[in-house]
Amino acid sequence: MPVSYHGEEMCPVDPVIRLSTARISKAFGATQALNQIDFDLRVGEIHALLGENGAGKSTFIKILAGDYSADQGEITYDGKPVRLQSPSDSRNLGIRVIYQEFNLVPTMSVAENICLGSYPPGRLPATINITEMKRLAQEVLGRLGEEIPIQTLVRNLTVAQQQVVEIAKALLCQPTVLIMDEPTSALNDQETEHLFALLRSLRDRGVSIIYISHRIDELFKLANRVTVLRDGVTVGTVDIGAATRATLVQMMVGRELAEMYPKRSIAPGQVLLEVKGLSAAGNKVRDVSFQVRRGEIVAIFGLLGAGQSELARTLFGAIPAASGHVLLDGQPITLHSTTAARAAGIGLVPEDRKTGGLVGQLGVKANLTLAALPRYARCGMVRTGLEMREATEWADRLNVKRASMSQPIRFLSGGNQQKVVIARWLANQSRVLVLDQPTRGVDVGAKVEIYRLLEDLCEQGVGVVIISIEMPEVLGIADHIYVMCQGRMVGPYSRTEATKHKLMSCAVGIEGE
Amino acid sequence: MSSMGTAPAAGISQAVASKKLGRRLLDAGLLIFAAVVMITFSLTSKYFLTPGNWINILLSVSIIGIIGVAMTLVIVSGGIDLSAASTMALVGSIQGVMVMKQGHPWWVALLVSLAVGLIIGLFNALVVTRLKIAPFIVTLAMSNIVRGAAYIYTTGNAIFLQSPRLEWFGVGRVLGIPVPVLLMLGAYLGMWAALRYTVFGRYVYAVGGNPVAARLAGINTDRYLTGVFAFSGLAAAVAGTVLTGLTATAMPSVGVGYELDVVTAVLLGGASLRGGEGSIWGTLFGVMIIGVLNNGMALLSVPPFWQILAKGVLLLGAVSLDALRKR
Repeated sequence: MPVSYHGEEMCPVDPVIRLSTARISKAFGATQALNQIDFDLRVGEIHALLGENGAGKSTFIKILAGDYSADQGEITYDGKPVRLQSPSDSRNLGIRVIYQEFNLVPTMSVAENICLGSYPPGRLPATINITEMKRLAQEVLGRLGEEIPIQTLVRNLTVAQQQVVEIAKALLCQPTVLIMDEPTSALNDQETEHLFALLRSLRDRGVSIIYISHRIDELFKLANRVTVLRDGVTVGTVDIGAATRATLVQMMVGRELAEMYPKRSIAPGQVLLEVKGLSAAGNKVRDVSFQVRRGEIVAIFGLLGAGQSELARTLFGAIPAASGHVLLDGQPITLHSTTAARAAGIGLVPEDRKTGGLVGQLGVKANLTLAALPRYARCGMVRTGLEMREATEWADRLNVKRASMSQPIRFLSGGNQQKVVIARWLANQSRVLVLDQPTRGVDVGAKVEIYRLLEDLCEQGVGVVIISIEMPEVLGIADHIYVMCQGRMVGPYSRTEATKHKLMSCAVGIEGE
Repeated sequence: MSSMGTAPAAGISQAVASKKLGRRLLDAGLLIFAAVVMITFSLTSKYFLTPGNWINILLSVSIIGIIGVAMTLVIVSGGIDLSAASTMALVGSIQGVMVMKQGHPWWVALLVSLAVGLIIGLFNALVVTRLKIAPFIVTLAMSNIVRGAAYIYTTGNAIFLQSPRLEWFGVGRVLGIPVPVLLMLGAYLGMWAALRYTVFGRYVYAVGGNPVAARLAGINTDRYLTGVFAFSGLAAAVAGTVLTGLTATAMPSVGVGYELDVVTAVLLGGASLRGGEGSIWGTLFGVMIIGVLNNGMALLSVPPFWQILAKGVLLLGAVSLDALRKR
């Protein structure tokens, strides 16, 4: 980071309040999403907003962004009451939000994206001053100390670079308040560090930042204060210096969290799934071999985009295999389609629930029985009573919180949605379950439930393959760990022999074999 | 600070409430619209409420009603079938030419023409699933291909059909109820059961709602889309048979624009062009609205040019309704 700044010389955090809310409430139908939220944001601070999924964080920032209007309560900006009825009200105050899903136009250049919505006018009416636009984009990137060629199309950038473009876009209008929704969920450690340095420098220039995250650990490196939400209520606001990991977790979940990762003592059985020299069309998976025993959890670690998601999809028949063999119980199986994989007893929990896992228009029951439906049918006719019984049983066993079995799945929280997708494969009695980042965007409580569930599955002799980019998760739950880097795989390492350092070296390709 | 407390907050919750009310009114609006149309027509035309006229209405909607069953399925699956009306014309032409010009028995003509409808549907499916081209474009092209084929096959002439057996599908009655009406109602009942109680129906909703998720749940999405389009072709062929029987004429130019009437009906019935949503009874309701409107406009001697315009407005209204429901 070329930004020259020395923290020690700066004055301490200014105690002036920039933005505050009092008694903000918001209900959707019968659900009280927010209940009397009090919150304040100082000038030049990074204020973290922490809470499980469904705690109300998203609703709260959408109110600040003017996307939703609060049912009651008041918002004050620089001491004056304001009404945020629309996104433009909020923008005019200098509040900018960077959502988890970026709002960039992939087919436009970096400069065009940065200036999108506020193009400098050219000499003729309805024209753009392209020279000025490029200058502006260059200038704002320079302020960030970033070097991204402004002519590059956004679709050719890495996720981390795209995020920088989002930040640059927000900074173009000199915002006073920057809200970031889980910005690190798609970044690796190095990119995360880089982002933090950038946010700190913005803070030190007086920008107030609301930072939403699931990752408690990173808050200690970044935030000044933390406000915890739970079930739509503010649990409390603490200075980060006065907080510990344990206290924050307890505030979030409202209960003592037992061991995060289950301590398993199941002796893995015979080899269940064997993959030999598997390569996928598109060259994203090259010559991969590994094996999974009955009752074993195998983790595949790697940086984002190392080919692990493609491997998962190849195993499930969604991407054609170019070469290699897959054996289930010693019998070779062909995975020419997802239907074949399903029939063979393989299940896939895809990386992106919303686009790959759920059918949003359908209810909890229909999503849960999506894979197993033929099991509940005779001659193509669904035995609806049986389907309902089985689906309800699975939903209860996995503790899926829902209003009813026919509630549209999109109204469930991330963790509960994920449990439905997992239950889908349990209902189909899958023997091998491939989970692609199953705990991404899932709150701590649901995370633990998912780990426990995987443990139960192992006890029943299922083979579990979990793809993860989170090191603690990999080290916490796997019996054996493989690492992928640029489509190739190394390993296995047993849980005892794997170290953070070793796995990361493999993941970045320094160490192999 | 406290100035904002109560009064504006009440305003906000009122706004929320009125939005919800608005959405409900939107759905109720359709019923009100239907009622207004009925009352207007019955007040302005003394024929409108006669039993004879109602049989006319049911008969006339039976054509778009039968296609509507298939179109509901297609739209739920996330697609659209614009080739249905042309298929209907080709099917009639085949029956006319085979029976009247080539002297084939009526049942041979019927089987061949139904097979042609099925093949058109299968071809649509093939292009949609293999080449991944949007159904809108595929079936639009197919519509012209089929229409052209009908003209070529008949050399553009209408053929009077003299085959009591084939005409039975249009003018026959069972227990006093016209055969087309029975066919239509049977199709609705069958499709209702299929969508509600079969694996096929559920998977069509899933494929339309989120094709990626459906595939990653092990569903052979191409197979279901093929079934959907094949059924649509077949249903168009049945509708063509009914139409030919009703008019006792095979005409290559028949039914231009019917497919848009059908799409309008399906969307009025609550289906979404984005797929994954729609109900068969909703479509029947939409079909009735269209039928009543067509019938009423004819009774009132609304000039045909104005009828076209009115139906365009209705289609736009139906699409807007779909968009507004999503707000």
